[in-house]
Amino acid sequence: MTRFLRRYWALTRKELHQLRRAPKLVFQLTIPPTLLLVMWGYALNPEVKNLRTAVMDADRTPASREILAMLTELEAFQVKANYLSTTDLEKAFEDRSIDVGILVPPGFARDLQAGRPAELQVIIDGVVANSAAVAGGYLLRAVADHNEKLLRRRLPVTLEAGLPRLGRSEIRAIAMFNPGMVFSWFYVTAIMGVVLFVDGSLVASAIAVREKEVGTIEQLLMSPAQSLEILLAKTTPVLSLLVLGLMVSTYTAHLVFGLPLRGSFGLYLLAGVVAGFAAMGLGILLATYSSNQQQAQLLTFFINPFVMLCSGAFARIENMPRIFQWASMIDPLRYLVEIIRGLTVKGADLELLWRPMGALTLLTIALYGLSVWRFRRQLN
Amino acid sequence: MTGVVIRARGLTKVYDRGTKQELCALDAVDFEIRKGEIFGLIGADGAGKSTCFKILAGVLEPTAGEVEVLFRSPRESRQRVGYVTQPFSLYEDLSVAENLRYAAGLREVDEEAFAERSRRYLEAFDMKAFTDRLAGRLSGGMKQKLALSCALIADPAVLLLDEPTTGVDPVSRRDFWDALGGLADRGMTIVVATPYLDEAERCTRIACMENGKILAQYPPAEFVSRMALTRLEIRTCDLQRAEEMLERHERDGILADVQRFGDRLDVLVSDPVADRDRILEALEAEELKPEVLRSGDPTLENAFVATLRSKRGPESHAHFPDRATAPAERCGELALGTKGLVKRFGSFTAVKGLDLEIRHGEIYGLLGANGAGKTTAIKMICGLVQPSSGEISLLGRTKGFRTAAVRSRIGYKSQKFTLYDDLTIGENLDFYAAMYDVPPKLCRARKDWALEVSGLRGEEGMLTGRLPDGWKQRVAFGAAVMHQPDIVFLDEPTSGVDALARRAMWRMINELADNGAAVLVVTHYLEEAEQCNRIGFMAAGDMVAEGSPSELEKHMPGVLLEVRAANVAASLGAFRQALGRDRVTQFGERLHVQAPDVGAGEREIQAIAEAQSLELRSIEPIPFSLEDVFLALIERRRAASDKAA
Amino acid sequence: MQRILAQSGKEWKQFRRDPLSMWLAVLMPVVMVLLFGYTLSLDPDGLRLVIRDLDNSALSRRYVETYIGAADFQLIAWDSELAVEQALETGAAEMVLLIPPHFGRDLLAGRPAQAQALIDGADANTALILRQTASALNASFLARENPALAPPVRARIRYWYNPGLSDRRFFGTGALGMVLIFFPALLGAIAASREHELGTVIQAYASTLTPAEWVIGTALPYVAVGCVELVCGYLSGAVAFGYDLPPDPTAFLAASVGYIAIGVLFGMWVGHATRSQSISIQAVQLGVFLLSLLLSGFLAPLENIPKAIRWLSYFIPARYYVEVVRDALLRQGGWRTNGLDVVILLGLAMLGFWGVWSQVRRMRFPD
Repeated sequence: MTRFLRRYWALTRKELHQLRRAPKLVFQLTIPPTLLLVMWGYALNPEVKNLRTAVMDADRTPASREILAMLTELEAFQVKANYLSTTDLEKAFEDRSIDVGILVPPGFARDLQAGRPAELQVIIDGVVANSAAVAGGYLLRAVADHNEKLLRRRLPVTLEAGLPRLGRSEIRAIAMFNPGMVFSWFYVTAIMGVVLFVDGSLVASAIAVREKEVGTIEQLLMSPAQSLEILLAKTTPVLSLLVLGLMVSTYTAHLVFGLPLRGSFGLYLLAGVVAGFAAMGLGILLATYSSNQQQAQLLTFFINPFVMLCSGAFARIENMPRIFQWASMIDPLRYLVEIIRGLTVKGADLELLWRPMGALTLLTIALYGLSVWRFRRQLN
Repeated sequence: MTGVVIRARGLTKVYDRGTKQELCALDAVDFEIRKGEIFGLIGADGAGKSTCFKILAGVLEPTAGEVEVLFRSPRESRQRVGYVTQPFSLYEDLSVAENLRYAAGLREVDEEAFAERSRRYLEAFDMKAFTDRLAGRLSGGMKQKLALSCALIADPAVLLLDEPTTGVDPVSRRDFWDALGGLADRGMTIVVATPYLDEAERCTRIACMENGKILAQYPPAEFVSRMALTRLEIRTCDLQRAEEMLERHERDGILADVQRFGDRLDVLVSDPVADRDRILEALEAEELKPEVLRSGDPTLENAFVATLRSKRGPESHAHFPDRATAPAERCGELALGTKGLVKRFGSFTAVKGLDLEIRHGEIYGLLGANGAGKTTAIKMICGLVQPSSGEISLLGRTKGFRTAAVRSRIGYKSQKFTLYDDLTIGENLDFYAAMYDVPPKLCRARKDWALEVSGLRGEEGMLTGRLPDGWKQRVAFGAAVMHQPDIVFLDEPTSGVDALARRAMWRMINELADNGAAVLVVTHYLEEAEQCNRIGFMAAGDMVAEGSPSELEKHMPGVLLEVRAANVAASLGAFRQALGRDRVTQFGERLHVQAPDVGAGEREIQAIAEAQSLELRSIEPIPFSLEDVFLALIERRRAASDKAA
Repeated sequence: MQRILAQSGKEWKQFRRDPLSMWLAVLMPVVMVLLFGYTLSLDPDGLRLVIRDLDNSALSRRYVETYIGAADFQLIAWDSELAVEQALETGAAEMVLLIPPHFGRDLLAGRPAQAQALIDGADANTALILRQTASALNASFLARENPALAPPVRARIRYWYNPGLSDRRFFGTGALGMVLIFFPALLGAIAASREHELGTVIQAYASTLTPAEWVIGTALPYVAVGCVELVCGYLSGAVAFGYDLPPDPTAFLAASVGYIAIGVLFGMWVGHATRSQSISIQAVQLGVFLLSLLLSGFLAPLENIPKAIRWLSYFIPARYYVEVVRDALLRQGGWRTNGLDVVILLGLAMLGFWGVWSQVRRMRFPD
């Protein structure tokens, strides 16, 4: 046992010395993740602003002016032009000079007066589908608010008409855990998981294949150390950095985006360590199939988008086709992100998170075990 | 044949000028090379040879000095210069034909000339069958021939060869040098660098380089004759004691040099009669039963070691800090045995029934060309590769080699450098010491020893990556044996190391064996094999011959005659025609001719010389080298398998 | 010309010999287009709904049925003892619809009654959609039960070029933009750095190959590989997401070739500068892939990026190319609508050529 510890320490110290001489690697593991996090937190905001908007008021009544004024006050729509004919409006669309067209058809005020549904026509360039959907949502919400106002104005009239009196149902939507609806929390938690995983696998494959490239692997396998010892020692320093990176990211996310950590810190740390093992296991496994850095990196880079995108870190798993949903079941990142979100935003505890935690642990054991097994066999 | 084709005057190259890493690779070098010469640049790694070649090829600008190739600047002459780099500048993922086509395309060789020349060279180099093979899957010898063909495809007037024979087996090396001789005879000017002294002997003139300077430049024979020393080969019953004793004499200035070679000592003395008697007397007095096998001219290696020593001063002679207590008891015990060891990779059998017995205290050399199965054999013995069948007994066990207890008694140094470039020398040594369970209290002393024998005392904190390859070899060796293993596996331990450093390493290896370790050296360098107590020749997975170096030399039928002629080129052609290609080899200005016995050989040679009216200066019998033995064995085997087929 | 051909032929043969690169070249565009298209979709589907009806009146049941009937929802539980908070914390439910007691009685009495939609706010995107859906369903319940309370103004939104508002099409085009710069850059970087790492660069130095010949000869086959990738990516997008070439595809093709060339040349530049395969691969991943992903406006509007880094996006070729691809494949646009972007891309390609050329101008080792 003491020999095991001595060898393990020698191996770890070697890795630490190598790490110390590679400040680039230390830098790569701590700084870019944090920067990425901040950039993505901002960049992946689906809110839309300043869409180039053209309006066309064919009704020219106070009612039409009122609704147009209300809509163009929104930050999303910035009026660029006022057209008088639909052909002009359509042409502007085809020239890509506008993104949104709002058209009040003739007879709008008359319909409103008569209690018939009055129609407002809106054209949105649907190519950038998510922005278009968000813009459409803003618009519908604004129109709904406007309707509310109109109804309230009209209410006395309705009552006089003696129509059946049914109360108004209302729905109060409450965003649990995130009442301010901070978009960045979703992406920031995704990035924290993704960075841990992608960085872990990339670095692990690089350091594992380096031994093979330089030829020191034979020497290592000839020494009294076992494969598990060698790999554990390889894993330890990088893993510490990865987890450190995760903590720095979390704190930065707290400072910049106000991301809370409502659950247990210990559990958070544990999940980071377990997932780190899985990521490095994946990297080492890929390294055993490559003969040089270049191959290892290409392979890792090819595998990582699958891991990343199937995990549901960026979009709901249920929105994906079935096959991707199945793939996500064996994706360790899926469970890591679930745990991260559970512990930060939702404040869940182990009792609630035992399922993803268990799945993550099983996958980690499988991946790391496979890599240890392959590591010994790769010379044959 | 006399026009000067390449001229360099005061050629200087300084890298990273003005920074902390400033390095003077070439320091005011002068030389002139004439048309049709084979000019050899000899020196260890980092002596400045490659820099010199890069400047001659026009791909590097000198810092100072003048250089002229074919009467123009090197850059303007690029089209007429062929350049073989080290490592070979071949695209490993392209086939032989594709590599040739690329080289031809870059130099705008027209289609017709390309077809004619590629056919000619592929035929001349025996590569016709391999045109579609990927360059990466060729053996070292084939790569070398391909690289040479690529350089020749544009029919250059000057050929630059930077260590073309590194990693190439002896058979291919000899073929290669024969081809060079032919090219030089046709008027091509050849500049060649090599770390091997047996190759240097085949040059017209050689320049010995060290630290960016040319120490001396003469024809090879003149190097030796200028030393004015005599070499004695002595055998005694206890080489270790004899060596230690003679080393004392060396320090007292009685003899010029002493070195151990496998089963004998080479001693250099200035007076062939008086000194010889004094040495023999001294050895007799110690009851070492000396026996002089041979006395004659020193070798080129002797000359080089002397040249280098005069520049570097004395070497250190550190001994292992804590010697085993009773080495003699273990010596002679079986350390490693294999019986019928076989390894198959698919349908290919790499090792065909290997039987080995290596005892404690013995240095065993496993010799063979690339692909003979040596490395596979050593990997099976070490447990890195699973044998297909056969038995191994290692340190008294027949299984369970993978346990930590067994592996901590094994020392292993693979062919590649096994040090981490991004650790310091000290950190590397600490790491291996801990990995191999060196007791902590012995660590310091052993580490100091390893540094001392590598000649790197006080450089502990230096990053290993900054060492030249030759020095890395020495540290790697020290790291591999720090835990005082009972059995040591060394894969080409001294490749890329200069003559002096090689001696230092062999001194260490001998000491290990004297302390009771069994040493297995795997190599294709005959210079390494010569140092072993016993040698096994492997060819195509089989053991062809086994024995001590002296025993093996007896395998050679006949004698070897060295002929000096006035017109070497004409004589070579005439002798080869009359005696057959295999029997005649060119060594610079000399020819080696194999003959059944001295009298008959001399008569034969005289007859040819008279018939062709060639002027001969001398005919002398000389001993066979281990290389001759090796080549003859391979040749005999090839003949046998041809007959069988 | 012979020398350019020799150089190109060599590069092409080397590429062909590496099965990993070959496979990746063909698979990468297909996989990325499909993967990005399918997995990044924000179209909600199967939103997990839990209903807690504390009223259980006829009216409350009708209210609840409005939600259950909506296509997007998938009912997980109705009126069970499931703890509401816990259902949201474990992610078992994404929305809990809570009907208070007396909901029906209040409505019948003409009083307003309020139901609650508790939404998992961890995913704010989905939360936003859920909030909108909930208020739309509430409105439709009202309109049905009491026509007088139907919304007076109805907005009819038409989404041009993408009537179904499928974001799969849209993410797929962006992914094409990512692959077509990343992979060619990777190939260029490996080709250039490999020559330095293996020392084979000396062959070219020692010959009379000119720098321009070298750059063109090396880049040519990789640009061709990029074009093959374009075809693969386009075809997979056409099959999966219905991409369609515009009537005049010349602008699109010119932009694509220019864009691919930028990738190859940038990669070569990195390869020559770093002289190490692994460092140049990392540099390409960071410099090309991540920056393009972030700053091309492919995932989210650039407007939301802080000004301090937004200016960087003008130097990201992907910003222009993604515009061109979307315009061409989804709106059938051409020179008239995206001429400027195409010209900028071709200009950047020239700049790339100049960059690599000046790097290898001397065709010899540095001092």
